[in-house]
Amino acid sequence: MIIEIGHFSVVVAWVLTLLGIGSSVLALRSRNAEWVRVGRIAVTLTFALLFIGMASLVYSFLMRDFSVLYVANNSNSKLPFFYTVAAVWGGHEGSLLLWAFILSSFSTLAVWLHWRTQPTIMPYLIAVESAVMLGFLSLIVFLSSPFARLVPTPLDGKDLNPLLQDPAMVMHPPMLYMGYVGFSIPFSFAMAALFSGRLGEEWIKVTQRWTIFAWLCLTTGILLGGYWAYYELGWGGYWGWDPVENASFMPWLVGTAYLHSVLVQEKRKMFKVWNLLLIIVTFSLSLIGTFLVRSGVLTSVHTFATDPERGLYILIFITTIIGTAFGALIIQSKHLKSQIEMDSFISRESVFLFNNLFFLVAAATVFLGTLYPLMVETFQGGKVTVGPPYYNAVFMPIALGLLFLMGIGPYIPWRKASASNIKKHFLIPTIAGVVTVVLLLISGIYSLYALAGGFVVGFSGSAILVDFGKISQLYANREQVNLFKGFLKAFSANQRRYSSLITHIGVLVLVVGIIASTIYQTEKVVSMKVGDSFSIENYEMKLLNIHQVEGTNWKAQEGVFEVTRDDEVITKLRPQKRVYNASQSPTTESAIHAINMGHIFLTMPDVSPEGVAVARGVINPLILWVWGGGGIMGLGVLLNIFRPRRREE
Amino acid sequence: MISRYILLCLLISLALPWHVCAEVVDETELDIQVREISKTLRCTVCQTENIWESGAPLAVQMRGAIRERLTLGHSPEEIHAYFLSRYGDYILMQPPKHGANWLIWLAPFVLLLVGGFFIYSEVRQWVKPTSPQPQDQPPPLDLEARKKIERELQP
Repeated sequence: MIIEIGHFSVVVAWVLTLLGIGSSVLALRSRNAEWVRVGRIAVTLTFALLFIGMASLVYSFLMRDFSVLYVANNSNSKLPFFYTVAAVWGGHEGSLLLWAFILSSFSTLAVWLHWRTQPTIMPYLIAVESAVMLGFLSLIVFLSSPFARLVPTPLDGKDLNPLLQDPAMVMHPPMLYMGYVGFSIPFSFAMAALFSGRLGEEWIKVTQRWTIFAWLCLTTGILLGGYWAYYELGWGGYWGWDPVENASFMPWLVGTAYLHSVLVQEKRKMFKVWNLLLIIVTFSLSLIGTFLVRSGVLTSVHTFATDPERGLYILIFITTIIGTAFGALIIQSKHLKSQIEMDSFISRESVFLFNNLFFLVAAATVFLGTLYPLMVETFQGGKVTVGPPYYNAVFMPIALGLLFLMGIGPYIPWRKASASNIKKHFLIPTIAGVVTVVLLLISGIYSLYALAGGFVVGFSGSAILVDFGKISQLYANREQVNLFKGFLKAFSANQRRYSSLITHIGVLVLVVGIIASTIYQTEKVVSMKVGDSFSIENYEMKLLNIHQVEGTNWKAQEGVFEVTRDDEVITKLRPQKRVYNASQSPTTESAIHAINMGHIFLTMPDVSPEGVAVARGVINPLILWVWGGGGIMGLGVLLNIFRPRRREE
Repeated sequence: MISRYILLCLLISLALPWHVCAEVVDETELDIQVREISKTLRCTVCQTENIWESGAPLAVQMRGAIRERLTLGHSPEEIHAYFLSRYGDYILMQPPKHGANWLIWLAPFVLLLVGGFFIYSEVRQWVKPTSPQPQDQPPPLDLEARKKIERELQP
């Protein structure tokens, strides 16, 4: 009964989305503001109804109502409470509903938030948001309903994929979707600008906080996913260039380009067409990302063909959105001439253009790499793999280029840089870069990538630190306070700029972590019995015993390893080889100990009946910098979002 | 090989305190070779995972095959050739650099070059028509302005 209420709510929501589009069109035709009010009611009610839809599905999961097909396919009577909630978005249908729900909550928020200040944009905004919503709700109502019943009712469910039974499953998909959907707000405002012909900087200023909020969610989602893969999949890495990961990385790359390039339009009224193009591409990639992950098209063309209706629908939906957006952009582009005034090629404008170029080439590389196997399969009939070795080789130069630009961009003036300016800002960073390389060489690091990375990080990092130092000094002298208070004064005087620079520092920290943990990872795999030990770097791992442990819905063999260094016991690690009861599928649970900003990472992929265990030990140096850098990035973005409003904004 | 293994064990056990009477296991030369080769080959039943990382039965079998061939004295190249002949290019973790695959290897760098050149030529056009050549010296002040400044500089 409950699930039918949810189903009914979603169907009504579908009708209301039509009303949202219709009333907006009528509002524009008749120039009657009452119709816009109707549109607002439609959007708000859609949110309420989708909330009921979500709640009914969550309820069915918690009540373990296996007469609902989706519940039966994605959960089990023994599934713990937390994962039962997360199982709501464990499959295709539920994640679509989650997407639609987040979209409606953001749309409602945007409509109410900007109602007073943006009255002329409102009908366009409601129309565009409703159109996207219609696409998703149609898919849910007609092709991928999570509300279908299953007859006869099975005794128990098939269970959630064991790899998804993890605390991260609760947060990772919603975060990622909030990032994808968050970009729909600037996208809608951009479309509204195009359709209404109000092509100034207004839409960018209004959506500035939405954009960084979306970016924050997407970044957090991606990092969370990486961390999850790291401890759950148990091979010791966090990023495998898997098609699913790539699907979330592409909108991130273009979204990051957009995030930077709008600054140029705000300050210099340039790049108008370009910014519209970037947000359209970002949101399109978000849509493509959502569907690529779940449709299975990437594993092989054949899986796509097994469900042609759904595939065709998704294709038409995405093409319509992208086609309409680009069509509007092309029609309006003649009105989008920028007033360009520059005095030199060497200027901040150019740096921003190169920033965009690098990000777009990075996105194009991921796109090509992800779809290349599909292209080869379609046109040549053969099969080919584009794996991590390819991406690592091609991506390193692009990433280093971007990091280098990061050190230059904030310190080169608009319009024109003079020789004295360049010397003033970049002499110390260049020296710092060289010193970093020398220090790395002295400490015995010869990898070309590590050295190049060291130079760039030294350069860009010191550029930011020197800036922080100078500005703190200035404010400290002026206000007669100490250096730290001076920094705080300077920070709050220009919070937007300095919070962005904090995010940049986070990026640098992250990159150091990535370089160290990728190039200097050491691993060892051994077969051992109880009482044996193996050494990796300075660490000695002794297998004390193997015993059985049991969870609510799994059984496991747990190895107890004593980790020692120089005869000193550091910790005991307990990796598990688990088998989940319902699906009988095995997982390896890693055991991790943090030491010196790095990790000792241990898994036990196999135990033979004779008691011979296969153990895999990995030392990941500086891996905590990866997550720490992510944290600093997030802090910078939060300080940016919650900066005090200024009068001119 | 085995004597080396024992020697290594002995050496390491010498470094150990005597009350720890455990046997020390370590990777052999062979293990390391198996690992290096495994990392370049794809597990065909998984999503972009190499057979080293994968726990799938097929990956385990393939690792076994590599080990067997190495002990029979095959070189890593011969082992690659063997898997290539059975599975085709698909088995390699990256597209081999020949034929149409050059597209994907070169595209990023070609795009960077073309894009960079495009930006350069475009920005050059923006600079010229709208503003005169950058001047090194500030424009000369007219007499009145100079006087005004001097007056204000007076204490």
